[in-house]
Formats: sequence, C-alpha cells, structure tokens
Amino acid sequence: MNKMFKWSLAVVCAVVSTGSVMAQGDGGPLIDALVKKGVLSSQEGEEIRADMLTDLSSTPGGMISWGSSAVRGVRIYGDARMRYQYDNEPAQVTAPAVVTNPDASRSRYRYRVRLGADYTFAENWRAGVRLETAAGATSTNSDLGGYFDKTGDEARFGLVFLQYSSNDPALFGFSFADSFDLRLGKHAHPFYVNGVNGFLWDTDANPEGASEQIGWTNVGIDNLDITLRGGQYLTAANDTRTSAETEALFVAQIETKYEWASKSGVIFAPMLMAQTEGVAQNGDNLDNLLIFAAPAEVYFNVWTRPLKLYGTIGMNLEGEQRTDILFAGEQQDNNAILANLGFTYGSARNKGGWSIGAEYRYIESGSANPQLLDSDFNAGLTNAQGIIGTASYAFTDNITGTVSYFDATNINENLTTRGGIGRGAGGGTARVLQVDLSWRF
Amino acid sequence: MKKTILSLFAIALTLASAQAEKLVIKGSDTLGAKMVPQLAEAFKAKNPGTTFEIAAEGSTTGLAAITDGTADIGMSSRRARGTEMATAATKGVKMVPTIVSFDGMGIIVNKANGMNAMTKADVQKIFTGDVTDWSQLGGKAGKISAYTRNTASGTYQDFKDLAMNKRDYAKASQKMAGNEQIAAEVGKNPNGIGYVGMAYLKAPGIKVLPVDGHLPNKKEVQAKSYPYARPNFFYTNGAPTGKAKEFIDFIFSPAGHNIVDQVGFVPAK
Repeated sequence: MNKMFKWSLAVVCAVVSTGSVMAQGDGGPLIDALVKKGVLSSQEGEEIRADMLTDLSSTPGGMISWGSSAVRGVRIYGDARMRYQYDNEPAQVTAPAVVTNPDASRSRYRYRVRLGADYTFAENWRAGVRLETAAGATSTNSDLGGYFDKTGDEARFGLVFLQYSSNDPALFGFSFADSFDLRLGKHAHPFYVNGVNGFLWDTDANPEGASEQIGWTNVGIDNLDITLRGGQYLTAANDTRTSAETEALFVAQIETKYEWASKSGVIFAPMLMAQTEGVAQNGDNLDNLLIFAAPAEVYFNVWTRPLKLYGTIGMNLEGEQRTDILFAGEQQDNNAILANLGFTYGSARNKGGWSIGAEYRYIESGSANPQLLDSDFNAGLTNAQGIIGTASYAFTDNITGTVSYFDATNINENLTTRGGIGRGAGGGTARVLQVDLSWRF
Repeated sequence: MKKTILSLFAIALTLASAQAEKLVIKGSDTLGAKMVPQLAEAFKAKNPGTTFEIAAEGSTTGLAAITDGTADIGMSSRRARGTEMATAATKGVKMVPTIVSFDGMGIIVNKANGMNAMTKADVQKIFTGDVTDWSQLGGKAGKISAYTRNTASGTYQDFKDLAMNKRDYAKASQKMAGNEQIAAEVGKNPNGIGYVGMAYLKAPGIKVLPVDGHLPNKKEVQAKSYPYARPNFFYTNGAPTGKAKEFIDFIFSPAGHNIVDQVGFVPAK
C-alpha cells in the first residue's frame, strides 16, 4: 500500500468519524486502530496525528463551514477583563503651578468585553466586526457601581473592516512581493510600535480608513525582511451645520527585521505621521503635527525565556509651532521630542507563564498627538515623563492576571494641563495603579 | 618566527572551534538519563567535530524548548499536547515527531512485597487512591506508598492516560524527579509501588509485576500487547536537518539500535 493511499485512508476515515475525532482532538483511537492493524506504521500514525492536531488546534474557536454562501468560514472570539484602578491625576488649570484639586485620588472598578467575528471569503478576502464596551477611542472600559444599573454598559463597534491579504501577490501575472495586506474600514492598524499599551499609538485606538502593507522576505540575505506600510485615515468629517471640515491622518513606515537565530532578532521601523488638523488637549483644532518616530527592538532568549529590549525616539518637526499655539503666553521650552525605553522579560501566554516589564517615557508638550497616546500614562496628555512597571501571570492558557503602575511627572512644571477632562500631571504627578484579571474565549 | 607559529596556531584553533557543531537536546528524563547520552557518546566517536548539550528535565521542558527555539531536539516520552502544538504554531514552529524508540512503563514493587501480579484495575485503584492498603488487594496489611514522576514528566502524563483512565493521581502519591529515584525509593520501602521505564527494571531491591499477565519486555512492547507500552519521541522544528538529522539517522543505524537495545529500550524501525 503506498504512502499517499495510507494517508488518504486515514484522513478520510477521520473525516467520516468526525464526532469521535473532534472529541479526541487528534483522531487518536482511529489512528491507533490503523497502526495496530498494520495499515500505518507507528511513525506514519504519529505524523498524521501531529498534522491533524496542528490543524485542529490552530483554529481557535473552530471554523464553521458555510458552504452555501460566500462565507467559507467564521471565527468567533472574544475577551473580557475585570479591573481595579487607583488613580490620582490632579489637573492644573491655571498657570503657574496652581493645582485646583491637588488630591484627585479615586478607586475605580471597571470591566471590558470584546466580542468579535472574522468571516473568511474566497480569494484571500476576509471581513471582521467586533463589539466592545465604552465609546472613547483609547479606552474600552466601563465602570462598575451604580447599584447594579447598566448605565455605561452599552457595546459599540470597535472594528468593522474588509481585508485582503495574500502571501503570493501578483499584478497582471507579475509577482511584486512576498506578502500584501490591504485593510479598509475601522481596523487594527498594521504599524510597528512598541511600549506598554502601544505608547505613541494606544492599542485601543483603531483607525478609520485604509491601511496597506507590502512585505519582502530574505532580502539579499537569509532572514532579512523588509515591510512597507501606509495608512490614510479620516479624523474628522465635513459637516456644514457645524462648519467642521474633513481632516485626515497619514502614516508611512518602513520596517527592517533581521533574525540571526530562531526567536532572536532586531527590528527597526522608522515612521512618519502627518495630520491635517487634530483636536489638541485644549480642545482646539490644531495642525502642526508632522511626527517622525523611530521605534526599534532587539529580542532574544535568556534562560529559555524571551527578553525584549525596545525603545523609540521621535520628534514632531512642527512641535515648536504647535506649542506656541497650544500653550500661548506660557513658557514653552522642551516641546518637540518624545521617547521611550523599556524591556519585557518572559511570556504570560500559556499556563504558568509570567512576564515582567518596565519602561521610561518622555513626551514633550508639542511632540505627540494626544488622540493616539496611551491614555493610561498621564491621562494621554503631553508634557510628561515617568516610568511604568508591569507584571503578568497566566493562571491558565486563557486566564491572566496583570498588575501595572504608571507614574508621570510634568516635564515643564509651568505649563497648565490645558485639558478639558480635569486629569493630567498638572499637579506634578499622575499615578495610576491597575490590577487586572483577563480571560480570552 | 615564534610569533608567526603562535598566530598560525591561534588561527587553526579558531577554525577548529568554528568547525565544532553543538547539538542542543532537552527534555525527557526517561530518554535523557541513559539512552541519549550513550548514543551521543557513540555519535561523537564517529563525528569528532560534534558536541552535545543534553538537559533531561522532563518532556514538557523539551517540547517548550522547541517552541522557544532553545534546543535542536526536544526529547519527549509522550506526545505533544494540542495546546503545545497550537503554541508552537502561533510562533511559526511546526513540531514534527520522530519515534526513536519504544518503552514500557513497568509496575515495580519492593522485592519483599507478597504481590506477584496485578490487574489493570488494581493499578488504577492504587495510583488514584481508591485503595490505600495492600490488604484491600489481598496482600499483607500495610499502607501503600505510591511513587510517581513529577508534572513536567511525559511519563507522568502517559501513565495517567494509559493506566488511570485519565483520572487524577492520589493526593498521597509522592512525586519523584526521575526513574532512578522511584526505583530507589521502592527498593527501600516494603510498601512502595511505582512505575519506571524498561531501562530501570533491574534496579536493586525491586521486582516487576505482570499486568493482566503481560510483562514490559521487548516482545510484548513490539507486539503492543503490554498495556503500558508507548513510543518515545524526538521533536524538531520541521523535518530534522543538519546535525539533528545525522544524529537521528545514527539512532536508526545498526550501531544505534544496538545501544538503544542495550540500555533497555525497544528500537524503532
């Protein structure tokens, strides 16, 4: 009996006896029987079992076949998180150095839920939607309390997108890259950024518009990959009733990644972000955002666990002009530079796994876009420097506990917060402690 | 002249060390305590440029090392679990198993123990804690001391699957680091019982009990008639290549089979 026939027989038998195979997860009893009867050798049985197990286990949530429609498969996924948060972020609404409420401490009990579904179509197309709690761009948290009421418990769409991705892209029969990815709608951005919560681009903030990514692998030498990314996003829509105008954010990035060994490599990904106009922390529409940033990281294993050292240096090339407008009449030194430097060690992805991390951040007053900055550090406002510490532990493969601490101080103590939200390090410091219990399903 | 000779010597030394290739093997204590080190020694004798780093701390650590990329070969006395395969897949690692030998987990008791045979049901009852005294199985009264491997061990999991109907171990069972420790404890304790690989069945002070009339020997393991027979694996990231392939090929050679056999395992063909 030839090998192809044996494999076909095993796979067909496995499919026919779907129920028992799925329950077992690896078609074990069937393969054992075929091995015992001598249809398969022990080694052939193991190879088939390993392939089936990999296929089954690499489709989390399972794939449902919708053979009668354009939808070839659906992946349903989600996660939830309970959070205790202590924060003390006193705002400074008049300068210099006057704090309206020096002790703004509070304890909050929060939760978030995200429920998503990805729909797979033919010919490399995919669509996705995700519902999530909270309305803000950079937060998915809802507050508990209110004697069991459901105020603020509404779910909103965080993702609505159409995606085309191919590992063998071709145009008129000409193969132009090793991978191509196009996303349209409200989607997760494809750009490489680093740091806790994404630092200069909060991981909760999903842009609306188009993203493109083209990649080449083994460029010149083995394991040297280059990826180009672009993004065109709508940040405000024209409305004659309010005289609002259409505004946009444009982003471009070139990433170079080199792995000198398995799980050991370096990434360098300079990027440019340009915005026609955007709401600053004083509520005004401001342009003067032309940010050049260079995020980078080195990663390798130390004592069998992954260590990642990362950092970013960036500058708003129009930071001075932006600060002139934003903080008119105030002292305006230190206005264009942003940076972070940190590490993570370990991984809390699987049961018993743990990770720790620490990061230093520096964000001058006119250096960044507060719409995108991580909202947990200094309430997402500029003119801050400080540290972040995190530690995570995986109780099971899908339940994780995390403790995070954010401590920010003003870079320029004589600047007002200029925030309409009554938060920020205007009082000198902004401290946030978060204790999270998260689970994926 | 002296400087030139020294320089040439240094260059030659550098080239020689650059030629040396290290094979990192991590995982199962069952495989890594005796069989693999002896195979490595024989392989080194034929391939002087190759060095080995062998760490035998349990199958789980070997499988994790393949996923993490910290080993060339992951020794495992059990199959990789679905979660381990999935974790590997998410990191771009394709775990490929190669059966390098077969083994039988023998049930051992102290030589002074009056029991001379057992059923599969008896074994399950002992290790799950359903029975706690030898008198409940017709033996001389005495509290049963069940010795098991630790949770990182593939043998620990395989025994649970094959002998205990996947039930949990008795709370009173004592976890040991390796086969040798189990054999040593059972050899000292008249009320002890444990399970070890075939390579450890000749330890002093112990005897092997047949289970449902079957003994862990080469013939029964090959025929798969011994109930606790199982394959032993080398896992690699993708099909084995380079020195890893050469080493695995050596295990399948007559010289390799001979070593596997001598150590107490059943060679895989």
